[in-house]
Amino acid sequence: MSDCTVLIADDEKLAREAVKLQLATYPNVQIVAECTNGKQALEQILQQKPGIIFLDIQMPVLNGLEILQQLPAAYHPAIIFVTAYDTYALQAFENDAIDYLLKPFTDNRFDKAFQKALKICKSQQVDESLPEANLTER
Amino acid sequence: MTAISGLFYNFIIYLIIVLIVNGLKYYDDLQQEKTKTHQLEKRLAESRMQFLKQQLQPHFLFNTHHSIITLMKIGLTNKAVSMMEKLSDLMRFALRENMQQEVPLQKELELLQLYVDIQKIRFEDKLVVEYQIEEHLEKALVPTMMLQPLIENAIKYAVETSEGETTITIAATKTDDKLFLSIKDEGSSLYNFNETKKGIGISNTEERLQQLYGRQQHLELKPFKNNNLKGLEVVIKIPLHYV
Repeated sequence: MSDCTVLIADDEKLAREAVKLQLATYPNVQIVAECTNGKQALEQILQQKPGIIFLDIQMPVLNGLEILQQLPAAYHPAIIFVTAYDTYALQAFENDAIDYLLKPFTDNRFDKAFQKALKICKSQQVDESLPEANLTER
Repeated sequence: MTAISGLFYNFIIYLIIVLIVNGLKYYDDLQQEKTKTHQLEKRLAESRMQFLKQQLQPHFLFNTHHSIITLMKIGLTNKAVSMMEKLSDLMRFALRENMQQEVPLQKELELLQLYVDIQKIRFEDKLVVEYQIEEHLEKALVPTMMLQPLIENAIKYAVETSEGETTITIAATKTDDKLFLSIKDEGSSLYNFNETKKGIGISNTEERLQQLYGRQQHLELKPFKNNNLKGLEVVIKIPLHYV
């Protein structure tokens, strides 16, 4: 099974660093893109189709919630919001986010969210590989 | 004789009336002066509250904390320490007991610099701050903590919504008896300024200026656009006076 791919979108460099730092403890994870604004994030998400997305809510051009609304219906990445606000929590979950990290977050809290995301990411990979497996059997 | 005493009597009555009227007027002036002082104190307390609230805004405070923690984790301890110290200085200033209505421009700019330094660590190259302060204005008096909410506005509306670099220019110039302060943001922000949605920051500033300087002050909002750059300039005119 291939590695889970991750995309990080946050307009603050240090905030992206914080996520990358945590991800360094997961060797089987590949960061495919780092984005500094919502528009760039949407383009990269559609192009790379990462399995896990870390999304800041308050970003220039397109905000995190607007990005989610523009994703194709058949694509279900594991989305984790990372933000200093908790005002948007409910809205985030309505948009199918799997978790919501409040800055600053602890290592434990990050791991809890990321484990959840990994599980979803891996189960999606199994789903995708199933039809191919069936084909080869025939 | 009776005519003279009648005249004298009338004069005494007149004198009493004049005294009473003047007394009442004096009392009224005193009351008005008291009310004005009260209102000024209230306004200062409000702007201090507003400043505090801004510092305690989850957006500013938690993002700053997050940045400090990240700096420490990636080993940039010196930067983390400096950011923490600046945050402390800023909070200490805001929590000060005896706050004056006015401070020398130099002092106001020092406070602003703390805030800008913290924001620069967060936004890096996206935020450029320039100062154009005319010579000899360091001791000119300006309302305490008036500039910070205006810069905060510029960051919120111009820097945060912009992909590229935004320059905030803080300028101070003078004529014979007036001091002009200008805060201008210039970048590729997507935010469109709307006069009717001025926001609490600007209206509070307007009210405070009115209370402090009456008709001798003026605040003007000048949205502008040139080529692909746009922004908003806030120009404040107040009487020029020194420490």
